[in-house]
Amino acid sequence: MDSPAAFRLRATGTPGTDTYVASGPRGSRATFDGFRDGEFLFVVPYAGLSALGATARTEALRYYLSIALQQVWASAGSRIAWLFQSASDADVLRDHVISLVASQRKHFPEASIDIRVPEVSGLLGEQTSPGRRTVRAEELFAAAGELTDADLAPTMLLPLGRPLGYLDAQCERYSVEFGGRSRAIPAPAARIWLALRHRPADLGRPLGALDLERLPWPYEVTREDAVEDLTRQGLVVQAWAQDTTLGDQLSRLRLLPLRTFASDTSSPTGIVARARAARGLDHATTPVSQLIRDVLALGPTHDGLFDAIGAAWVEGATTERSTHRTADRIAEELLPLLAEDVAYLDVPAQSCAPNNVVDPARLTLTAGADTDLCVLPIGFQVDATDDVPTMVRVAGRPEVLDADEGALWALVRDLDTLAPSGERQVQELLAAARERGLRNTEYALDRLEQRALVHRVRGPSALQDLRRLVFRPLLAGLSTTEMLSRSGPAPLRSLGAARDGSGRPQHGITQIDIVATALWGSAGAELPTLAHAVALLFPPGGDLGAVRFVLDRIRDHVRDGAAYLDALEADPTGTGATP
Amino acid sequence: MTGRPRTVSPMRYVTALTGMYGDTRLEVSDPDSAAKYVFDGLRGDALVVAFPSLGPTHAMDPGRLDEHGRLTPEATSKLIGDAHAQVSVANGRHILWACARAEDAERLQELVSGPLADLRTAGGIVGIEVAHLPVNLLRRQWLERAERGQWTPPLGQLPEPEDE
Repeated sequence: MDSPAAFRLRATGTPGTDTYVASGPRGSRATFDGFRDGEFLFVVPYAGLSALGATARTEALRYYLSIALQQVWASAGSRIAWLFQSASDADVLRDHVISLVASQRKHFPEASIDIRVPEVSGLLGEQTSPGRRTVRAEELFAAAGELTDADLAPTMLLPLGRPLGYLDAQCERYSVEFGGRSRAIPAPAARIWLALRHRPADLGRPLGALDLERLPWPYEVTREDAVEDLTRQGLVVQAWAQDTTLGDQLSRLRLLPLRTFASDTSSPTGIVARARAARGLDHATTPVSQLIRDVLALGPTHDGLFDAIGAAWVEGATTERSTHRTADRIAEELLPLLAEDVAYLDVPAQSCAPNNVVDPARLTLTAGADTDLCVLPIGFQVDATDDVPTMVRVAGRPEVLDADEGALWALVRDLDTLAPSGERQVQELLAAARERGLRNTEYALDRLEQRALVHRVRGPSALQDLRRLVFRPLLAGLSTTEMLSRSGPAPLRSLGAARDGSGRPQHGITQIDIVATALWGSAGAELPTLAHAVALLFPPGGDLGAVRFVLDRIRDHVRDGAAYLDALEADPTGTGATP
Repeated sequence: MTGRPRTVSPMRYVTALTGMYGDTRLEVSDPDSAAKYVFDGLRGDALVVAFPSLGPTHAMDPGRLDEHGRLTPEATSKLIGDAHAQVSVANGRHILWACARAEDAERLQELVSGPLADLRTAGGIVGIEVAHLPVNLLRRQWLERAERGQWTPPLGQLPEPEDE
């Protein structure tokens, strides 16, 4: 049997140092062991009342009833619960206490003392108080045993989305990519979103709503309104800490990498995630475990954390058979990884509604040996005025476009056909620009190329060019089904359907072939560039026909809204591999 | 209506902060000594000290501010002493100084960031957080809980709403 102090902690969650003191009318004063949801808690440790002789039992009754009377008066009729360690003690006192409370209702009509005998085993089970309402054990034992701050915080708030950065020098708008769309959020919401991402690493638990009240807050809008704004946009999920584990909360989300990984003997695990130059933290590293590395690498190709964990198990990356336990292990590592921008959380691929996806379907490729293969617009359009892009996001940073640059970038994106051979690609582009009255097109094109917002894939150096590009999937490989054929079952891997802003299915299922498998694989952390995808399929320096074939497949998937192209600048070798 | 807001009832402000109503306080003792401190309650995991106003809260209360709106030396001395006592018994737990008025929160923040800054750096001690928690915000939180069917203190025990 627990000691009285241990029972008190388990029954109420109140630290042994804390006592609630209530003062009421007529000088009444009473102490309580806890207060939860308007109910005062009073613990009655084992007293062996049933074994007492008549006189001693009468004395004990008088003692406890005097306590009950003081409590009713001091609490001014608030609800009170007595939590007994011993059912036999409860049986001895129950009727007497109930009678006493009834006698005081002429003063305090709402007065009540509920008699309960909480079961101290089985925290997740249900506990029945004899003759009383059934209460969930978690209510009574939320903080029992291993009491953590998270137990005391009613909710935990998880930030979703990929951090892109502030959109202006005044830090008034911050951009987050989420569900395939970039969203600009105002400074108050950004402060909360960034706090949810970065502060849990210090606390060792997700933030709750109450933690946010401690944020410095110079804004007119309230914290609550800012949280509501984020929640409405889907950038924050609120979860009840007591209801489930963090790992369970993650099950329906995708955990996606923001960095590449490398071996590093100075790391305890031998593996580090490497920061990119886009954050201004070149060469910064964060140690990660093998499990996290594997699950993150699988993130882009699976439709949720549990799916990725399942795949990691199939591939032998984990021997833990319980997906939930593995998810909990990952959750333990997750908070620092979010804080260090190693990873981010996104909705399942099925829920992605990509916008402004570059459509290379409108680009015509050529296999000419020494000429341009194609001109690709890179990145997401973040903002526009009168349909002219004013800002795009590339490699995690926002890039402001002036009117000339924006118009040309849009032209590259929207042009139906480009010339099929030689330098005419660019010439055709410039001619089309002139036709549309665009100004300073050559200068603007040069600026866009210098800033890696437009990419010209050239013939002989095509593979090298592709090292600077990243294939970013917006859809995951959802399932592997088996199709029966005469030669036996054949695996058919398929993509999920994207949805548009209204929630309607935007695209159907897309079958994944070997090229797509390589492309999706290149989106992981190990092989981050398109050059790797091509190299997986063809001999290094392979012929231009092969490159063109891959670019065609990229075109198909981007057209399907399943991916977009981004630039990778930090890794000059383009390998993402161990030095 | 503009101008100085009405005086907030200290007891009702505590109710709005902690959910406890009636005259109930939370007494915390230092396990290593006989020291005790009586807080206004818990808000989440934070031990709460409520500051409905640094000015006079009733006719006989001189308040803690001088004619220029600054903390008086006596009030400053008392607050510093209280802060050390609170941190001592809190034993590393969060302490929240909750202010109904933004200007009060600013004054207390200056105190916490200045003369009390050492409390933040002492080993293992989280220190004191100052927060502006206006009555209307707290009321809205409880009303939203009520709308969701969750427990609230009697809504009549909350402070009256203030003019925005």
